[in-house]
Amino acid sequence: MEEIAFSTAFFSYFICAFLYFYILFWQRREPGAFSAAFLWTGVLSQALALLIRSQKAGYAPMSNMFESLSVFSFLIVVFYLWIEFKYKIKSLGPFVISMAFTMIAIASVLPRDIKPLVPALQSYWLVLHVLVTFVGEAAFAISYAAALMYLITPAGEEKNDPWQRFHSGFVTVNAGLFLAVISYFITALLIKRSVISGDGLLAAVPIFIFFAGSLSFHFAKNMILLMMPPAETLEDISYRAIGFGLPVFTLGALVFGAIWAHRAWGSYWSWDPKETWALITWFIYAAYLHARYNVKLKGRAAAYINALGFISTLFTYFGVNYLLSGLHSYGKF
Amino acid sequence: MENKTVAAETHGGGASSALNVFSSVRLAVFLIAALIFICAAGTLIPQMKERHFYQAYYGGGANIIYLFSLNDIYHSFIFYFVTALLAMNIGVCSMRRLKARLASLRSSGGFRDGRDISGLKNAAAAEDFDEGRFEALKVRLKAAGYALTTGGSPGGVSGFAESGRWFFAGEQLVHLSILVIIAGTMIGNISGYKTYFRVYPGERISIPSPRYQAVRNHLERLMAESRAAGADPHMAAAPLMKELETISAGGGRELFGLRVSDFKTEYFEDAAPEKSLAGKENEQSVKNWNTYFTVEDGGRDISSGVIAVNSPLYYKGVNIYQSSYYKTRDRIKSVKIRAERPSPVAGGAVAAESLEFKSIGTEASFADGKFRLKLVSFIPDFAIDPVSREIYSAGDSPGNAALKFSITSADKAETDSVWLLEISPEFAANALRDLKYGFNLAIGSIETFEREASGLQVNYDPGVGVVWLGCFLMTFGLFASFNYTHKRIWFVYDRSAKKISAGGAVSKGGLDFSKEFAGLFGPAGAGAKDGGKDRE
Repeated sequence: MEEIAFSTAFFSYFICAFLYFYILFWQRREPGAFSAAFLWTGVLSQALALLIRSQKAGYAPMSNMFESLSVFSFLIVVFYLWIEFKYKIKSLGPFVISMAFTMIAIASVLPRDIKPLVPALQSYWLVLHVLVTFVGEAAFAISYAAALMYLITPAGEEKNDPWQRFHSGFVTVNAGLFLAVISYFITALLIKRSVISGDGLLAAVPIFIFFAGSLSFHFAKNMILLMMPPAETLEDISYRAIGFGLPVFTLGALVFGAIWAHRAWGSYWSWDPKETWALITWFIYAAYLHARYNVKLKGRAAAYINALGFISTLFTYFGVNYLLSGLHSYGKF
Repeated sequence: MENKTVAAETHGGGASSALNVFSSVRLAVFLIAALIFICAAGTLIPQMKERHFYQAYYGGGANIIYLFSLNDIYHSFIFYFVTALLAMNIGVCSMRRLKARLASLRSSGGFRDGRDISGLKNAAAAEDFDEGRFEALKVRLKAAGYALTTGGSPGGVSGFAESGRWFFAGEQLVHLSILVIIAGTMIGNISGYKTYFRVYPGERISIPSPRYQAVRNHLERLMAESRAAGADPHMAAAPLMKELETISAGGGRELFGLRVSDFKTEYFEDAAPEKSLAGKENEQSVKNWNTYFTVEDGGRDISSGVIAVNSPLYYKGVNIYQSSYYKTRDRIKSVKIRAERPSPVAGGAVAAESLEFKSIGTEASFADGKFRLKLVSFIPDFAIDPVSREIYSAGDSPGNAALKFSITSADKAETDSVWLLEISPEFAANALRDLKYGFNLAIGSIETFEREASGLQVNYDPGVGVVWLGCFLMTFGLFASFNYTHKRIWFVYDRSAKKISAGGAVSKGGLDFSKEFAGLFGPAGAGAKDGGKDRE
């Protein structure tokens, strides 16, 4: 049952992302109801899959990469639904749902065995620390998507910026990378290879998709611009998402993390790579807010700091797990 | 941190200029960027490794690592320096900003005339605004949480509505929280201690008093420094050793005692066994490690219970954690030694006798009682410190097992001793040849008891409460600063002309305020216009 619910979410997000892009590129509003239906089907199926897994495992599904990716993608979609409801805009959808789909696609090829929790994770702090952190990071994801969209829809004087090609290029590379990552995991899924098998096809497909995707996006972005919300709205979404996400991230990642570490490891701060990168992420967003409050930093500069913050968030989540060793090593698989 | 406006207000003498530098946003952003760089470097360069590790890994770069203390970057001068500068920056600009905010609060109230109002970004004017609509507006403003002040103006009413007057409390709390957390960490570093114990069931450990442990930590640091400088560590440590003796004599050594009655590894019963880390053998998943303890204080048993992962013991300000566990084979069950004596006749058979020892201190004789051996010590994994030449065990289970025996001979007055190494039998053979006993000793077998020991971490951190206070202030401050906005609306109502002019300003969240303002004053938002000042 969990498998069916998870697969339903996977395909629903895929179709939903496709429909969102269709709406965006071809300026057609008819598939809007279908995209909403698939989005709701996806989010409800994923909620069901997570509930079933919790019941089977006897603990909150946040103990390994498969489970945490599922929760993270679920929260991104939930947060997006709230933004869509509040701002009545769908044009963030292609970016955000693609991101959520990337997460669930990665999760789909990871080991999903239910294993007993190691002693350190047997605590209610697992839910408080991980879930609250992901709520904050989901807000960062939305903010990042809005920042990227802002970079291709400048407002006011920024419309005449000679660096506009660079900004668009940055967004294009981001879009290409996302498509490449999705294709990497889908290819792994289709050819039933491990994601770390080093298969030639696993390298070739994403590289091709990266260039094809980047080029397509480059030529299609003028069509996207027609459906974009006003730049001020994107700026507002981006700022508000951080305004919500940073306190929540502070509470979940740093405060709850410190309390749990104090309880389990005897030290509220150990300079573990995960802790340190969470602090770096916090510093970046804190710098963003300082600059915004005090030197009225807005527009593109703010969008780049925002993007840097989310790259740091992703590194804290993935990079630290796979590239650096530390106390959070159980988050790897 | 301080904004340009506030900084501009305070320029002046040298001290003031220095304060301006310390309170600048540019400095804050630079320091944050520096901390990001330092923190990231600490995750990329392995920390707290031995010197030879860096030399092997980085070659000549090891010197740079040591020069800037990059091997212990979070305790380096540069890290403390940047953190201290940031703390000063936060402190100075918080004070100045608070002063400026309070001044602004005192002067921001009051009424504005129609021309001032029309210059604000959110400005509107409505015609046919009768008394009924005006009363309804006042009700709506109050319902929306505004504090409303009205006064008479020529031919009408001037009004000022304000919400979120103390909006800056959030940012002040965030700044304060960082200073509180730094203070809590410093208290912990200066007055706290952290130590580890390996405890076998049946043993008692003495939890040191903070004073005793502080002197001991100081002593250990001093001895390490003396050793590194090539000096006699005992000379340098003598005064502190005396101080430790004084504390002990005064009964101040122990805070309390902890008796460990048992230590058990608990496994999941229903779970499928999983592979070990080596992937070779299946083993059950560990559910927890449990140390069964009794606290002794003042000669009395105070409490009993279980220390487990995620379930530490807290007593007298000390936390005791289940930190690790050990499976050891460092206690002798049976040792068999072969004593070999060559035949006095050339080509004759070697006379061999087997001797068994059941524990340290046991004795056995051979050659019709001519020689007597006593097992003096057992080292599971024999190693010699290359600097101090001290013998120690590199592990808890037999690796290069070593046995030390004392030898008593009927022909010799003095007692000799010899080490028998399991993987280097020639070591004992050479030593015995030099001693001219005419026999050789070789290890036949070594059997050991397997024992489990609990690894307990003992922490005394009087600053932790301060850190939690800082965490609470930070979270609360961040939530408050983002969800609490300062909204101000000024209006002038002309009763005779049935006309109202209104303008508003907001500290942040301009789009929402524009909608709210349009809802209050404009028919479906008409009347709100762009341009002008919308931020404080």
